Amino acid sequence: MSSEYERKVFTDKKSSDSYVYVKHPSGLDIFLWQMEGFTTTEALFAAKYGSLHNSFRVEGEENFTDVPEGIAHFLEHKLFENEDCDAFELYAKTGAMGNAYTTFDHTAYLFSCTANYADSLRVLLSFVQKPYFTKETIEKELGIIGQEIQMSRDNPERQSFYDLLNCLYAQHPVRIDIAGTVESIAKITPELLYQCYNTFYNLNNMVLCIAGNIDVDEVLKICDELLVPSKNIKPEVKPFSEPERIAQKEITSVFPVGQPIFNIGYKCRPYSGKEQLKKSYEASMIMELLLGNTSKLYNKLTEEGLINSSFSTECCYGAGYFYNVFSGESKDPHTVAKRIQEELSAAAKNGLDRERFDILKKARYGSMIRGFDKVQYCAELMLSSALMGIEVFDNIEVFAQMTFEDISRDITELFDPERMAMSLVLPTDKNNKT
Amino acid sequence: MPVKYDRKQLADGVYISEIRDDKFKTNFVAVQFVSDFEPSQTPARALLPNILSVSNADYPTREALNMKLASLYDATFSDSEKIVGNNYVTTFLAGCIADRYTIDGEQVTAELVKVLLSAIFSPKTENGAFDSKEFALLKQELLDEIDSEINNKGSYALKQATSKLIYRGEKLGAVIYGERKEAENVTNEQVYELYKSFLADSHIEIYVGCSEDVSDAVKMLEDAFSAIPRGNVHKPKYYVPSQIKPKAEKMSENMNIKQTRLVMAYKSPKCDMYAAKLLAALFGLIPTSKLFMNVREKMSLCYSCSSVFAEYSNTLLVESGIDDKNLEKTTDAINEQFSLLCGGDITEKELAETKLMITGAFRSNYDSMLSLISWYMVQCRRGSSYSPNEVIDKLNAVTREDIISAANSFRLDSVYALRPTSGEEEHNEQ
Repeated sequence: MSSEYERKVFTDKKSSDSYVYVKHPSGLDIFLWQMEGFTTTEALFAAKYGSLHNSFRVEGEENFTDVPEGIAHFLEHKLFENEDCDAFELYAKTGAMGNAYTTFDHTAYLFSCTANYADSLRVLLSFVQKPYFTKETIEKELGIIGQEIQMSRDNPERQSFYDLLNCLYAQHPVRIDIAGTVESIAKITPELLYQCYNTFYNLNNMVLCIAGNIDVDEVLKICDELLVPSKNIKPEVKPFSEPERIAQKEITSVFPVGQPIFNIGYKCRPYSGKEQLKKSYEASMIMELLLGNTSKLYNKLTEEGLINSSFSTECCYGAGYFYNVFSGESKDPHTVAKRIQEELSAAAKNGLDRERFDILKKARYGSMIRGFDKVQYCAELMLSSALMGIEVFDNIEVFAQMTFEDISRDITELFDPERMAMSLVLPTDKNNKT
Repeated sequence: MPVKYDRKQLADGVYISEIRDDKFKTNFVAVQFVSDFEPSQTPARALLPNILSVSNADYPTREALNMKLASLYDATFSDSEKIVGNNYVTTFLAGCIADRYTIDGEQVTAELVKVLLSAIFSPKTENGAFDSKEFALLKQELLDEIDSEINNKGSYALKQATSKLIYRGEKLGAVIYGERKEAENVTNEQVYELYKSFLADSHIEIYVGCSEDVSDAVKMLEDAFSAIPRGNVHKPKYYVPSQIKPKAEKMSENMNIKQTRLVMAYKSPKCDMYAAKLLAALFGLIPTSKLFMNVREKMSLCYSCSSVFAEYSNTLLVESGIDDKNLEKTTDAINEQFSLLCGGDITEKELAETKLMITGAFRSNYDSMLSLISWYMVQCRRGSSYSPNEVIDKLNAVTREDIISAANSFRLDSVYALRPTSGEEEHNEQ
């Protein structure tokens, strides 16, 4: 009975928000965040399987199996289709809006609804556990995903993003487009899809996160009914071997764009667990202090017309990779890169501004509180925390514990000029533009 | 606790609405200026809120203003512009965490309202115009923005389609930031003149969305906006059905792209709004719609093919991204699916499921203060104050026959395609 499960309740003291964690006997990790007064329910059922898992084996196998690029994303599309009908038709009966997405390290199936959440949850748990792949259904999907790939090939920001990853990483599969290519997905067969499914879509390798208008007991009862215990296969992904140095300094592409688009990246060594979270907060704080919209340099570069409102900073990380990126549009991206590096070097030598650090720390607390106002954010936060192996409110705790001394010390580690690379998208020659 | 909504008049053409729901942890204030405009004025109208929102007399640099917002627990302050009916609508939006969530009990909401009022009423000026350095900078940023419109092929195709074909010659077809040449010619003095009439002549709607008592902040807003000298106050006209072409027109342009972007428009002279919303959903808004199930799933012609009802212009817009060789086939398939709807190919089951999904989406407005503010902005334009639940009742009352009748009031008006350069040459055809 579900009531017998051990439930761990986690609560944030300041906001009084709390969620429940249950390890279900089927092997599934379940995270439930009940939100008083909200009508929406957001559910995410995710497999720890993404585009990075292109080479794997299971216990007892000697050799790694290599699968075509883009297969995790293809599987996500195909899982929506069962033998009798597709998941969209089932959601239509409950009124939920269903969707799915694939990232580097996980694939998530989700729904959002404001009524009948129990029925929608039954749909979600059922179809994800019932794969149905045939040659015919694969053939049909090639056209649809082919157009998705073509659409992304017309997207200069996406091109610049992957160009940067190809500069920073020589071997790590993060450099490969999640959707694959028209050529790679043409190699996908029903057998390969079943192999990937059976390896990664076992409940011990999956997470269920639901936030909003729910009753915890009712959710667990539905889980008892529908979760089919699966053998605890432990997929082993081929270790990512990646040199410390960057692969190349710069890649340039040409697109019909208004002005050059740039991504300036700093490759770092990879981290995991709470250390990964801590380093990501430190990197974000350094970027905010030196290049955020409250910084001197950001405003100077804006005044000089070297950057505009498209400028942004981000810390990106996952299994075996960690990098920091400055991106935007500029008439002179090389000068922007030079000025950023000069600022980072000066900060490493002369230190950072403690007063602004305190204000920005308070600001970050405010943005976390704002996030707890949104059902979708809470569901996604539970998922990202589970995938990272941390508790949700660790986010607040780790951030609160971050010190000025920590970030001052880590500038060089997180922004090593020797491991900086840049991708550029330059405008097509005006004569060829249209 | 139910949402509380109240609207009252402060002055000629100035209104304030308060929306309260204590379950949230945030407070927002939106101030909307609704103005008459000429299409050639749009670059100046776009520049005006930009210049007001980046710095002002109280916070004379961007750095100072951004630092103030950061100190208010990462409060946000932004401006946005859009064309609604025959109006240019400028919105200033400020948001912050509720005072009860601050660490030291600070009154951040009232403090943020002061920042908002400084932006609107205390611009940084010199010699009867805005700060010249800031103006030059923002003008360049606007030009960059216009140049970068081609970066996103989907939105660029939609802009080209609406301005050059679908709403050609109408205010609805005006480009929000204007054309580059018009933007290049805008002067600081023109924008400053515009600012004076902006305050005096605009219809103004203020929305306070809160999760606690923010009477101090409301009082500041009421005092400031009651005192604005009013001039020739604009009377907004939102519902302007777009002119229907005597015969559907086609247009295509070329660009160095991989995928063809298709935009189609069907127009109606008059139709029931709720029936038209359900029609758009059945046609291509939800995953069980005609376009998704047939054009995407059965025919594998595209990744996305969706429709939306633009209620202020009585126009049903369809967008898709396709292989260029399938342009005609896709256009025909979309038209065929629309014909099926006109012919009554709607089962009671399809209708019930569509209503379930659309009403569910409407209900979700209760879970976001920003969505509730947007909701009541639309209600104001419609001259009503229905809650999401009241509109859900109206949608549920729509019959299959109402939708078929609405569908038959539409006819194909425009077909626009942005095609790869290797495709056909640029041409217009009727």
